[in-house]
Amino acid sequence: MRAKSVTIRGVSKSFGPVQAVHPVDLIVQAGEFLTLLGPSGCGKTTVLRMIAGLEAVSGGTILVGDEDVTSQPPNRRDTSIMFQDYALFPHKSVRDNIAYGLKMRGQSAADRANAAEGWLARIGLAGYGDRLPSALSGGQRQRVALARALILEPGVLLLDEPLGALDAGLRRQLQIELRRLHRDVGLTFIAVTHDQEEAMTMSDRIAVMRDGRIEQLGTPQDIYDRPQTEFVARFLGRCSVIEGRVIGGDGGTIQVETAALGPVLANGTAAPGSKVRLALRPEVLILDQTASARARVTDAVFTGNAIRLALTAADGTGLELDLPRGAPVPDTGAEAGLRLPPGAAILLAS
Amino acid sequence: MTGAITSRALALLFWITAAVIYLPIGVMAVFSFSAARYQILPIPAYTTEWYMRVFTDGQYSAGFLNSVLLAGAVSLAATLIGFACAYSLVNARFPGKTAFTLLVLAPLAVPLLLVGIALRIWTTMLGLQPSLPLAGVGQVLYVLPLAVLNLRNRIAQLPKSHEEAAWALGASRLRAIVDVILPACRASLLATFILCFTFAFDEFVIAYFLTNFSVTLPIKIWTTLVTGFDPTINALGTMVFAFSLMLGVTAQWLLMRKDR
Ligand SMILES: Nc1ncnc2c1ncn2[C@@H]1O[C@H](COP(=O)(O)OP(=O)(O)OP(=O)(O)O)[C@@H](O)[C@H]1O
Ligand SMILES: [Mg+2]
Repeated sequence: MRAKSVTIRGVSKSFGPVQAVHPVDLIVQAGEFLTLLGPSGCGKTTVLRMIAGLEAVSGGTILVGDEDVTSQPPNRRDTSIMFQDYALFPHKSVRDNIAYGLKMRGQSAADRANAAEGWLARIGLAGYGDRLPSALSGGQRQRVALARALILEPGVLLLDEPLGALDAGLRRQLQIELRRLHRDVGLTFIAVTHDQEEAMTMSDRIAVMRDGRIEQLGTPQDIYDRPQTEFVARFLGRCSVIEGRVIGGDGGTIQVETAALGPVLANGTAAPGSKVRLALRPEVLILDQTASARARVTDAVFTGNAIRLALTAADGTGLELDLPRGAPVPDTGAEAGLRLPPGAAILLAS
Repeated sequence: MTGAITSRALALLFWITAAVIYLPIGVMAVFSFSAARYQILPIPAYTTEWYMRVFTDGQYSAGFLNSVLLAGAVSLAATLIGFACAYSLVNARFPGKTAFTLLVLAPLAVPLLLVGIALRIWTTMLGLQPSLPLAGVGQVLYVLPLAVLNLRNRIAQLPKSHEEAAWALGASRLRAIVDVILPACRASLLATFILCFTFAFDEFVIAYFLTNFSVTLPIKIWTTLVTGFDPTINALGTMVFAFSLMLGVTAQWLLMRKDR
């Protein structure tokens, strides 16, 4: 199989006084689609560029497959990179852009033209080969850039914000296409994005980055359902955070006494008596007038598939709750009872 | 109110400057068609005889040929060397980069006369005979800063990702320059060549110090003027002016049009 794994051991990067990436360890499996997700400036692009060889590491080693490529220049690595601006060569036709890698490999003009035509058909741009990139739409350019990177069948394809320059509708469509393409070619994809929805749609696993470190690594579901830190919880969707003290527990569950919602059951382990923080997704809280936990409704917003209520708990903590459509909406200012199913609260690392 | 006054003053200044520069040239152009041997008014009769002379007098055409060949070679060399300098100035990070930049651009600030004398002394010390190629080397030093400045601006505008994409697709550094940077600089390279050409073509001081017998057109004009006036010079000067103006305008147009 062509796909190669990527092993990153203690890789760091500083630009002068700025430490853009702190020592990072990460193993990307061969054939996997992994996304580096994080806010602007957290070092995602820098990690990607170090894997491609476009940026020298300040420390650590990078392996592509079994080969240590740390000191290899980009043209000697079995990686391809797609840039956010696509970086299509403006003076070359679409066909020559796509075939460029093959030309560098010394393939004959006829073979190159054949392979390029094959890819043009595959990306739905048959007949566009003679155009210049400037005569293509954004989505078409994106596909040409993909084809250009994939024609070499690199062991690893690196994608920096692959859909960043496109409008929302097209993005959603291309997320699916990219996912399908990944399955078809069976190569290792490492993408970078700051869009959590995009990361969850496309990836097998997500590495959430913050300030040059990987904060959490896991499947999209893992990361959404079991964020380990408040940062991850908030970055992947909305949540409210409440505080409490552990009053008991056994096996994988703990009982937490909270000022906002009273006693709450959460999955995880923590020493009795310790202070903990719990994250609540808006869809887990349930309105229940018989419940003992009370909160005041401060706002109601229509979000498309739900009504999102903003509430203030007895101790002043802000909470969010998604009402299913069709459910009666309480008046602003009214008092509501709140129920939390056991295990729905997420224990955050302190 | 003050803005309007300022802009009117500026416009006036512009026209005065233009007049100071172009009026003498205009006068020269008018007299180049005068049949009189001396510059007298009113012009007795009109003729194109002086223009004919420029072409029939072997000395002028030899000088013209020398100038064209010299300026062509100088501009080609300066454009190529300038491109290499500009590329490394934009891309490389090395200690002493600022010093290097200053060194390359310094000839712009040094009086040409000093450059000419220094080159003469230096080449004599090295035991080199004055010759056209030697003058060429000197002129390359003279126009190189222009080439570097011009091309550096253009290269600095180019997105780095284009070159990086070429590397990632297997191109060597040199290959990426040829495939990606050069095509994006075509118009700038041509403009730079023409600009260097106009400067090298009428360069006098360095050529005067570093050549002996094979003279360039400016030197020929100079020696003619020193030995006594000849109306042919008016015709020649007018033609050289028109030629330079055309090249200059072309270069500016290329630069403004930018590379596509
Ligand atoms: N060439 C450079 N010189 C100096 N600092 C740099 C350089 N490249 C990146 N940085 C810094 O390193 C940090 C990480 O940058 P990086 O481009 O990796 O962020 P990112 O996560 O990709 O952000 P974005 O989502 O905005 O693209 C930033 O603080 C940035 O300013
Ligand atoms: Mg980035």
